Amino acid sequence: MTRPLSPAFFMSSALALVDDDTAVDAGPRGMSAALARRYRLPNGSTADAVPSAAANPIDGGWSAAFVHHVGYWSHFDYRTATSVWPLPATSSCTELAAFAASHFILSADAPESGDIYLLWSPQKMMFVRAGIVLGFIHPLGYLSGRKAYECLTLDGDTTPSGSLRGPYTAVVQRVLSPDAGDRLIRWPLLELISSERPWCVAAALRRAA
Amino acid sequence: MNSIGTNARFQPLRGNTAREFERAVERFKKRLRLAAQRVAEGNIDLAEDLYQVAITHLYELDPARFDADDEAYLWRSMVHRMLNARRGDDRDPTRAPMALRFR
Repeated sequence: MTRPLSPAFFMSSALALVDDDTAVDAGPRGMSAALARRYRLPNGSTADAVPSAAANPIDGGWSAAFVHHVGYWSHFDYRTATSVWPLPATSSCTELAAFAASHFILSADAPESGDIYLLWSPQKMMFVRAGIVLGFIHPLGYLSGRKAYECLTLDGDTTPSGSLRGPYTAVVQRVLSPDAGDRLIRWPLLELISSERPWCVAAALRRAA
Repeated sequence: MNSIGTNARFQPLRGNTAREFERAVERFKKRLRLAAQRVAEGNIDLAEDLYQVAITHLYELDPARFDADDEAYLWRSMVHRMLNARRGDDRDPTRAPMALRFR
């Protein structure tokens, strides 16, 4: 039996990668420095970082790469030495959105825990950030009538003020608005629409037999 | 026995995009007030109303989804919002002041 897709694994793995609050002043050290070399290539903020357009595209920085890292390793099966993470390995939010749209898992509904959000930039007319919705979701209404949702997200490539680009991984209180163009990737649905039977159905059928 | 170093004081890094909004307000405040005064053509109350309209619009735009390159877009967007609000007032002279409409 293959490992099921699990938002719980996904979120707990992501939480393990959140930076220490004291690291903000200290700068990347130890394990953080190793991660920084691997993922924190934007901004030219770290001395050993080599910014490259391919690794840190304008549509995502290293936020999408962070999401893939978390997803891949949270769904890695050591018995088969493979991961069942269904989303493509990309650091481009545009690619991620295109994949999600083609698999009918790109949603404009209210966010749910475990979703991957894509933040839309009305200026650049593209998705500029990807992150993970943790929860504590509250609906908001703007004076213009636009609806939004305040929620806790887990972001890479950010700062304590939730900036678009930055050297940290943090739990951020953020406003997501489908009306403003933000979208959500309901990746656990990929298991249900794949050609294989979902693990829960397969297990029930085995029990019935 | 090897001792594994742990940091008992670990606190996860928390962020809030409201700080990005506050920073944007600080950044734009001065020139936005000047622009509001110009658009209001010397009417101090209207200038204050227009400033509030622009700040409300900035909040809705959510500065956390913009980077430094997008400052011109935010500025243009706020000024257009003020001009539209001013035009709206011009069209209907019996309309209540902005502050009263949101009570």
